[in-house]
Amino acid sequence: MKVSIEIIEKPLPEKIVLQCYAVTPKVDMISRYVKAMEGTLSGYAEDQLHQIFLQDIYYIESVDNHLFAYTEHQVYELKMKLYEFEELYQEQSFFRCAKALVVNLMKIKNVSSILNGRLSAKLYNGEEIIISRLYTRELKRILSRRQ
Amino acid sequence: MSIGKFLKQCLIQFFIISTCVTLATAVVGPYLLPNFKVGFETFYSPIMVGIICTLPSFVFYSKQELDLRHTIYRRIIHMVMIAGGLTVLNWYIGNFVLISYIPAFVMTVFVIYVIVILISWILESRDAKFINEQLNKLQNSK
Repeated sequence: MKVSIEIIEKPLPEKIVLQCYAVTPKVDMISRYVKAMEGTLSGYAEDQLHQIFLQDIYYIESVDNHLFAYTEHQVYELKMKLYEFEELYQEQSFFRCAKALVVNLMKIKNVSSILNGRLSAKLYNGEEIIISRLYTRELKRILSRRQ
Repeated sequence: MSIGKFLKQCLIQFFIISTCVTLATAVVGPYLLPNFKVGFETFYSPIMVGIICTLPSFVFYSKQELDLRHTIYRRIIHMVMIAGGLTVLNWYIGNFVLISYIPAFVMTVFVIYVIVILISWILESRDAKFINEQLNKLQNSK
């Protein structure tokens, strides 16, 4: 695939156009990557495709091989795997906190200790999720590194 | 947690308990019972205690993350199983000279169990405090 960059003058809007014969997984991956950089991703709700702002997502959960993004009022199904989401968005405050869960660190109000070495994270929408013992150390490391 | 990781954790737990019981017996024994001599069968004691304290851990096994309520229920079952197992073991090997020793022994096991949970909760609370501070910094920086 040929890559070309064209310098434009302001106030023309910056855009990325992918010219392709078909939307192959590779093209889809590039598209998702660009959207990730821009802070949005595509998700389905009631059979309709929506653009979701990353900062609106509270957490991502994998249920029976389906991936769901939870926002304040809506649940969207994402057409990707949890590990793909994790890889794409880990630099944007998303953290794998359990086997099937990735949480947006910006949406955690506070964490508290519960028995068995796990932490309970209270989100700003009032929901509570469990941070598994295996991921607590990693969370501490990531947070220390980000400061 | 997968069953493999869980079993590995149980095995580690077994060896830690067995070693600690052996060490405790070796260190405290001469002070409490200086004239007491033990036979080879005594070496089975730490192993038995290790098994009795490790086997009840299976009540915590779950493929899904347990919430606080379920964790507390299972903790109570775990504590009762350990106390019961250790009481039966001590009764079997004849450590209870008087029947009145049994409630005192069970109470001691409960107290030690609660102290262990309390220490681990304090350590985890420190982690939670650190994470809360770092989260606060992260959220204020963006």
